[in-house]
Amino acid sequence: MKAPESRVRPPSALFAALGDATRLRIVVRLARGEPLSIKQLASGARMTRQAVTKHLHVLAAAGVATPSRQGREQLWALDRRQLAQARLFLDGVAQQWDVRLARLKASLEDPPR
Amino acid sequence: MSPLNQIQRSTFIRAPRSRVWRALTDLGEFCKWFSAESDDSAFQPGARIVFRSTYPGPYYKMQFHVDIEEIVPEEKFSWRWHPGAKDPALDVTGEPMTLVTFTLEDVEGGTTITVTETGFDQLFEARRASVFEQNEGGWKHQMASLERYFGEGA
Repeated sequence: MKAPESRVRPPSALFAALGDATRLRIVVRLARGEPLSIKQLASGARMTRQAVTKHLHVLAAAGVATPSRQGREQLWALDRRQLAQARLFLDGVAQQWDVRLARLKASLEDPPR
Repeated sequence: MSPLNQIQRSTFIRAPRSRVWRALTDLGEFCKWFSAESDDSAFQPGARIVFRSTYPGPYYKMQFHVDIEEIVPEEKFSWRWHPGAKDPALDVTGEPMTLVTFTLEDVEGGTTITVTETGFDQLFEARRASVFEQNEGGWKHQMASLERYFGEGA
């Protein structure tokens, strides 16, 4: 078992970017694979292109989404490394709580004699 | 609250709620299962309790503190703190803290304790990790939970 006080650091800008239901929906759509245009993202989410653009720029600043150009169209894709990092951080914190709750449970159910 | 911005963990304990509450909020009892020691005497709303870790390893004797928010007898206990391990070289003093809330619930044969930690989005830019690894397994798991969260309409 890993020491519960493992060296973990929160990717804070990332959590701020994802702490919004609309942006999470965009992330979920991009996660399905193909890079998408702002028009495609807007029609699927029933949002204006301006709103989608604003959210994509927040995601880009956090390193979650990256733009690329295909012909005349700008397409957006996910950069999964940042999200994997967020997962690693939260997994580390959650694991610490699992260990602590297990110790609390053991101390009450099998008290040392 | 987005699922990526909070942690929630629960466990069932075969003990009455009053007993679990005492283990949670009596500072002496708390220190035993939390693997910490403190020179303070009791948890009180508004108090800052200073601990040293007694968990064997690189963070042994590392100091940390919690600022007590709420104590609602046998129901709810909450504090703010700087989550995870602190790098001694890193000054976290000015950083926002996360909120940790314990709640207790009677269930047949014992008590369910739930811990919820929120506020990761508030954390300071200075603690952004500079190095990370690709983790496809973790990623797939995360996407699956996102899909569940938003359902088919996502």
